Amino acid sequence: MNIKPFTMRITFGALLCGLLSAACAQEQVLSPATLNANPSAYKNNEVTVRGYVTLEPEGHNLYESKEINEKFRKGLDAGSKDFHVRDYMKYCLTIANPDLMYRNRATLRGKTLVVKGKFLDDYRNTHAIDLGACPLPTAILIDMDDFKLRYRSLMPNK
Amino acid sequence: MVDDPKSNGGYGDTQALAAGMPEATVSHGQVGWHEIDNGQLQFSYPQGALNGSQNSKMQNNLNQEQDLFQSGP
Repeated sequence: MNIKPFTMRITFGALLCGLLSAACAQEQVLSPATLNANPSAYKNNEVTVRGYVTLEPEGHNLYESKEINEKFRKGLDAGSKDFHVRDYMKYCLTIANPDLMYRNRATLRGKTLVVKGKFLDDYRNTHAIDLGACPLPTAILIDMDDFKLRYRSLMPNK
Repeated sequence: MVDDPKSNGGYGDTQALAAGMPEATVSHGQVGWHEIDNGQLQFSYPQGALNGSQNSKMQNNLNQEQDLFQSGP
């Protein structure tokens, strides 16, 4: 049988992906909007998310992208009747455990980062209100050990 | 005393109102209140606590935040 090298590469790649499918699935990088579109599907799952980091006194979240965040900010400032805050809710994902990130705010805010953690479909609780949370109740509980491994150089403060 | 809805996806200091609670903001010893009355957001503050531009900014914030309290599409 004559198997061409190109075909062999595809076959080997498919085989490898099949063997490592669990790992591949874990490393699938999602966006805040993808998670917010179907929160029940990701509820309590470990997910990997790419987002633009907002760390302000009144907000700690991963935003869809820097570009969309800038569009949101400009639209909000302009106050046009054609601008609707609700259209942007899906792009915001609350960081449920921002303490360490706040301690390293100077080096983290404004960065687009990939984080791994547990997705929470409803972050709210009955005895406290998080004033820095996004409009939607979803959040990510970031795996800080993983985060430190990924971004050690951005974490000068313990 | 002016809130920052750009930081938390649009709620600013009206986050607590969504849970049915008024929210106090303390700044330089003065207290302002975010409240909701018949579905309408409002902010009340001591006379002189906001200057003209801050007042305009707060009004714009309330206008935008109100969008999150509307029912339906």
